[in-house]
Amino acid sequence: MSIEGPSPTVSGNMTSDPDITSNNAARIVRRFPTEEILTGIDIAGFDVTEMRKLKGDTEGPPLQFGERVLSQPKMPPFKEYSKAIQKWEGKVISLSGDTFRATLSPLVGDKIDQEAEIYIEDVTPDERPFIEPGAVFYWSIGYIERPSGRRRESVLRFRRLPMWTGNEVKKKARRDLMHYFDE
Amino acid sequence: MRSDVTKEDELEISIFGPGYGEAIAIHVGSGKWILVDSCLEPKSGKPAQLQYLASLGIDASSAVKPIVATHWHDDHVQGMGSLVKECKSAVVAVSAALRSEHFSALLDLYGEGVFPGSSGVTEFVNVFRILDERKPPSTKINVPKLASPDKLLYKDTIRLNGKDHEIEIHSLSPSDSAIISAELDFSQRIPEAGTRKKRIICPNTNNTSVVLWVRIGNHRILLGSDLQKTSDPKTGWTVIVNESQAIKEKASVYKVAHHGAKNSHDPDTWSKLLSDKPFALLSPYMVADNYLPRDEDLERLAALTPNGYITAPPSRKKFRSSDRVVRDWVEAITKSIQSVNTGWGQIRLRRNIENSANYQVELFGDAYNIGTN
Amino acid sequence: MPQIQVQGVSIVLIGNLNPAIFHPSWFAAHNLLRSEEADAANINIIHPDVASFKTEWLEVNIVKERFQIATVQESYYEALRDIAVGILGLLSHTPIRVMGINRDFHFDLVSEDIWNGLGHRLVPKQDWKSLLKSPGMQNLVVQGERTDDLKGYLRVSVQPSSRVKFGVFIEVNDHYILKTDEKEVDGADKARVILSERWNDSMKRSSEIAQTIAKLGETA
Repeated sequence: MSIEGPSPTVSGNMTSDPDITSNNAARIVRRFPTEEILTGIDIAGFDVTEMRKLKGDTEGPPLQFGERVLSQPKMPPFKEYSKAIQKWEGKVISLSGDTFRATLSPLVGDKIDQEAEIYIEDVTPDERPFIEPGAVFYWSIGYIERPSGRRRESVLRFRRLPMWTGNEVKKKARRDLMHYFDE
Repeated sequence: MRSDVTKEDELEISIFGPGYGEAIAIHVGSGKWILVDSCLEPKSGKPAQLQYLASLGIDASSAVKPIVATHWHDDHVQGMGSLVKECKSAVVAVSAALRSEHFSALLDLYGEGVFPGSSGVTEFVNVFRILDERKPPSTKINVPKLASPDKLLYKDTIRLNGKDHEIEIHSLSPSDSAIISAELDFSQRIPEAGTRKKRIICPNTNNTSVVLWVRIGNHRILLGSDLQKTSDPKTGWTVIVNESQAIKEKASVYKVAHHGAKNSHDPDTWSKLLSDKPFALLSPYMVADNYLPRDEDLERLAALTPNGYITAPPSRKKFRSSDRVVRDWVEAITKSIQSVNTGWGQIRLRRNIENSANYQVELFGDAYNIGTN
Repeated sequence: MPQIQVQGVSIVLIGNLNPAIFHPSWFAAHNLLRSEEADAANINIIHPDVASFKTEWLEVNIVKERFQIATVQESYYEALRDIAVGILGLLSHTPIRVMGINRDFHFDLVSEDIWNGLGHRLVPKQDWKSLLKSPGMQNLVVQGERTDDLKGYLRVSVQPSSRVKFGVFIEVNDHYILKTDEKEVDGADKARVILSERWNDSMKRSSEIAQTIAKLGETA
C-alpha cells in the first residue's frame, strides 16, 4: 500500500463493503508490550489512529496483510459542519472609537466589494490586539449543523501567521532592485 | 469580435475604471499599442486592457510595445503580472523610485508566499519574475526601464500614407527629491522582528508616480498618474512645470491626476501644459473616507473644461444581499456598510492622426460627461 | 439542482516529519491557533510516531511521513490554509515532496432517477449487464494532468454518498509533486507559495469539477 494512495476523506464516506482489511486500512506503527498503535488511511471517516489492546502473549505473530483490523459501523459518525452563504476577506483600514473600518473582498456569495465599519465588540476579545491597519481577517456568515440542530453562524476571525522573526527580516539582504536579475 | 476596430491611422485613448482601479490603452497608429497601469474588469476578473484588445481582435503579444507601471499602489497594478506575461513584445517601464534597496527588501519580504491574494507588491514580484525568465540567453539581466524626469522611455516611427509620424513617450517624474523621500518611506515599511504579519498599507503620498508625456505625430497627451502638488518645489507638479525640457507643445488630452483630488490640482499645469478646454479623463477612487473625486472636484473640473469625463460615478451604493441571514448578521455587526466598485466604464477618444478633426468621444458602461451630469 | 449537504477540505503533506512537536500548545505558541482553542483541544495522541488531535473546527493527524489537517467548517477554510502556510514557514527545512489540497462534497441529487442517471452516465451499464446481475457504480476514480505549470495531477473520485439518501460523494485531489530530484530541498517553500498564491484557484477548480459532475445526472 502506498502512503500516497487514496487520501483520507474529511466528511467521511464508505464503500459498499463494510469490512476494511489491513491492506487498505492500517499498518502497525509501534508495538508496545500490551498495545499496538495503528495508523493508516481513513477511508471511512474514522480517526486514523486506534489503540488496539492485545490479548495474552505479546510475542504472538505479527499482523498479516489481509487480516481484519478494523470493523466499522454502517454509517460514519455525525460531524458538526458549517456552510457559508457569504464570506469575505477583510483588510483593516483604520480604527476609530468603537469600530474599525475595513474593505471586504468576497470569497463566497455576492461578488461585490464592500466597505464596512465593524463594531470592535463583535471581535473575540483575544483577537482585538490584531485589529490594526493592514491586518487581514475572514468573515463568514451561514449555518452550522450540529447534532442538536441547525443554527445561524457568523464567524469573524483574524488571520494567524507566525510573527516576523529576526532571521526572516535579516535574511532578505537589502540589495538593489537589480538583484532580481542577477544570475 | 467587435465591429468598431481601431483604424490604422487612428489615434485612440481609452481609460478603464471600476471604482477602485484605473488602466489606460493608447493606439499610436499602425496597430501599435501602449498600455499604462492595470486594473481588473469586475465581471471576468481579468485585466481590462487585455479583455478590450481581445474584443477588437488584437493580438496583445505582438501589438503592445511599451507597458508603464506608473506606481505600485494596488489600484494601478492589479493584473499587471498577467499583462506583462501576455504582452511578450512589450518593454516594461517602472518608476526609478522603485530602484531602492528597501523596496527590493519589501518585495522579498511580502512578495512570495506570505500573503495570498493580489497586492501591488505581489504584482511587481510577478513582473520581475517574468522579465527574468524572458531575458535573452546572452545577457545577465533584463532590467525594466526606470522612469525619471525627461527620460525617453519609448520611441518609434509609424508610416501612414507615405508620411512618417514620430511616437515618443517621456516620463516627467519622479523627481530626484521624490526618489530620495520614497526610499525613506519604503524603509519605514520594513517590519520589525516580533511584529505581526499584515498587509502593507500604501502611503498617502504619491511621490513615486510616473507622469507621462506622450507625443504621437502632432498630438500630445499628458497622463497625470497620481502625482500631487506638494509644498516642496522640488517634487510634485511644480518641478515638472518649472523644469521639464521634454514638454514643447501643449497637450489636448489630460488624464487627470489622482482621481481629480484637490491636492493634485495645479493651476499652472492647466495653464502651461494643457491646451484650452482639453479632454480631461479620470476614474474614481472609492475606498475609505478618501473617496475621490468629491463634488467640489467635479465642479472645478467642469468649470475648467466642458470635455471632462469620468469612467464611473464616484458614489457608493447601499449594501444589498439576496439572503436574509446575511442581511441580519451584517446589520447586527456593522455600524455602516456600502458597496464599492459597483460601477464600470470606459471612455474612448479617437481621431485621425493626420488631420485636424477633433476627438470623437464614446462612453461605455457607467462613464459620463462631468459637465452634463 | 444538486445541493451540497456537507463538504470538507484537507491539506496533506508527504515528507519527513516529527509528529511529537505538533502539540496543540505548539500551534498556539506560534500564533497558529488561539490559546483557548489549543487548551480545549481533544488530544488522541502526541507521540514521536503519531500526533492526532481535534479542536472545534480542526482535525490534525500526523505520522512520520504524512501530515494532514482538515476541516468540514466552511468558515475556517482560509484558517486551515493559514495553519499550513505558517507551519511550512516555520519548518522550511523539513523535506516535503508531495502536497495535496483535497476537497470532498456530499451532494443531494434529490431524486432517485437523477441519482441512478448519474451512475449510468459515468459508468454505462450495458456492457456490465452481461457480466453481473444488477450492476451499480460503487466507486469511480479518474485522473487527469495538470493544466498549469506545476507537476502533479488532479484525481476525482465519485461514489454513492453514505450521508445523503440519493446523494453522491465526490472527492477532488489537487495533487502537487514538489520534489522530482534528490537535490531539491525547497519542497516546503514551494508548498507554502502554492498555498498562498493558488489556494483560491484550487478551491474554485475543485468546486467546478464537483458541481459539473453532480449535474450530469440531470442530463442523463
